Amino acid sequence: MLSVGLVATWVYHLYDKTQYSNRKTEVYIKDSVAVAEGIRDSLQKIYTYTINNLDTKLDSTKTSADSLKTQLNGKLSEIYKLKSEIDGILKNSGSSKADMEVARSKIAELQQLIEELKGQNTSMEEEKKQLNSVLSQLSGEITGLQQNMKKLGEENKALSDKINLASIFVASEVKLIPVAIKNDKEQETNQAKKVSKFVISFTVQNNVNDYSNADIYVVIIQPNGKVLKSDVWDAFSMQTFNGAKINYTRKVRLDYAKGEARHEIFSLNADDYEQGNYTVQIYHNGYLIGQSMKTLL
Amino acid sequence: MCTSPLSKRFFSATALILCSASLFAQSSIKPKFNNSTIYTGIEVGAKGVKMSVIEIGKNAQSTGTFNILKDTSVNTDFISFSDPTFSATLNGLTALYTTASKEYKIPSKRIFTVISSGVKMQADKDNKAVWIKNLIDSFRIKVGEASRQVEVVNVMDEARLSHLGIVPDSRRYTTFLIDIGSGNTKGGFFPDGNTNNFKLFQLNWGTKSTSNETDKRCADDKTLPNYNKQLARVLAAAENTDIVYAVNASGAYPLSDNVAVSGGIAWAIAVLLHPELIDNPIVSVSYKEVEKFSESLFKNFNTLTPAALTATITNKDDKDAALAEATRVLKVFDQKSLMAGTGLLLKIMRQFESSFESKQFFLVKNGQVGWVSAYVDQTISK
Repeated sequence: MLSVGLVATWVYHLYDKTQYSNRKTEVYIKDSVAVAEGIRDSLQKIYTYTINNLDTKLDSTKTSADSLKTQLNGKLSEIYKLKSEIDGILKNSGSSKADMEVARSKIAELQQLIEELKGQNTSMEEEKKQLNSVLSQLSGEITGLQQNMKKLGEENKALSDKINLASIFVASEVKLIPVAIKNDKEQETNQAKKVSKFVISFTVQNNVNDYSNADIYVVIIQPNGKVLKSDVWDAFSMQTFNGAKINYTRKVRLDYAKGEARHEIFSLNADDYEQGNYTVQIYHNGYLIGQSMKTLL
Repeated sequence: MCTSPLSKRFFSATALILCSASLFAQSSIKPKFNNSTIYTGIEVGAKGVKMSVIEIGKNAQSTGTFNILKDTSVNTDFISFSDPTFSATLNGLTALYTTASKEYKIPSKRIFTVISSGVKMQADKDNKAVWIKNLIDSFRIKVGEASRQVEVVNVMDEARLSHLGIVPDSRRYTTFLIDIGSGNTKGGFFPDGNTNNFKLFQLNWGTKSTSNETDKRCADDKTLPNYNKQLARVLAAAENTDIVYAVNASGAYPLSDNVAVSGGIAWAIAVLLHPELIDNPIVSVSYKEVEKFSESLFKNFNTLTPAALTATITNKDDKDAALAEATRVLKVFDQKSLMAGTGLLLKIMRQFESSFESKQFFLVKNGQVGWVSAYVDQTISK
């Protein structure tokens, strides 16, 4: 009984399997075109939606991603290529199921590319924001640096001025001695009428610099306010530290070893000696470093 | 004859001379120094008679100091060698002499009268030397001084006297003096350490001739940029063909430490470049300084106003004097002639510039009266 039962079960099973297999083949053959058309419609919808969506995205992408134009162009040409390929498959009425599978795969690829592009656009906008923020930060830093540089420049100038000032001579014992000559003998006098020449002397010193050619300018201001010019071939003008030009009476050039107390003395003859105050001023590097006054009666 | 238009013009000119001489006499002469002597030089030039009253200090010869108290001239055009211009010149010469002696009370021995080299050259060229002799004789008769010396100087004398009058003894044998005139340039130096031998330097280029040549090259395009371009060409040609040769031939380079330049353009540059040195008859300049000034003349001429130039002068008297002098310069020289003269000066200066040794350059403001100073020295030594 058991054996009969088992055999009967196997017979039914084989019969049923045959029936099932036959019906399945029939259905497949009968519905293949309709299914393909359905798939095409469905894909067309997805594709159209994707493309419509893409156009908007592309426009905004185009305008917002100028800086990455080359990279974008590469992606876009890939998209256009895919679009064209999909178009070709979908418009072909004789496309096979296999073609449809290719189209599906390409649409998926297209969607992926578009998503990538979207993501890239977002990241580009974020990057742009970040760059703007960095730029603002850098601008701030540059302004700060400029201010700092200006401040340093001013400090540097102040220090240079201090160094320059330190290297400038200090003049002492500045004297103008009016001399009368009588019987070949020289004698100091205060009487304008008796003066034959002026003797000018001064001492200069600085403890910072040696000089191979230091120009010391001597300015003698006469009672009438004019600068005395005893030798018109050697008395011109010099520039002071603040840019003003002043006339001088004599330029004394000297070699100098730092620390030395250098005494200079010379005489000069004027065409005329007036009654009143004569002022002697000594200048170095445009700075007044010493002066004295002498009155002639 | 007296009613002819020419005669009327001549008498008007004479009246004008006498009138101006009289007006001139009314203004007093104020010497700058107490211990100085006043001299007068009257020179009959090609275009007119010029009188300069100068004050020479007691140290003039050692320091080169002289001060111009009066400087005046009358246009008589003697080198036309016609009766009216002869009479105008004679009357002008006599009027100026009378003013100096009668009004200014300058003794005859301190009034020097000369006929310039320009007159002599033209008279020799036109065979009119007798006109000069007649002028001198007539002048002697008119002033009643039969033995009055009126020297006819030649180019060499003029250059030599200028050197002796302008350059102080201390720089006598180390200074090359160059006078840039309107039509030519002349000068020289003493090469042998004595004043007997004077080496003459001559160049057929002056401020006006350079400017004229440039104008000619500009043709119809009279714009400033074109003038500047053509000037560069004119000066380059002058340098290559004449200046280099003249300087080399003079032999001045190795013997001169100082190059002193006189003439109108030297005065103009000195005044505009160093207005603060208004009292200085001599101004020291560097090649670079003049080069920069030359650029300013072309590019920033409108900044060279008397007011702007004198803005930093603090002494009021100096400022007023500098303002007046700068204004005078800009009346005498326009932009183009300043460019031409400065360009010519630069080309000459360049011959004395080298990377190994540079000469010291001086601009002499009143070189035209230097000869009077030389006459003074000669008179004193006699």
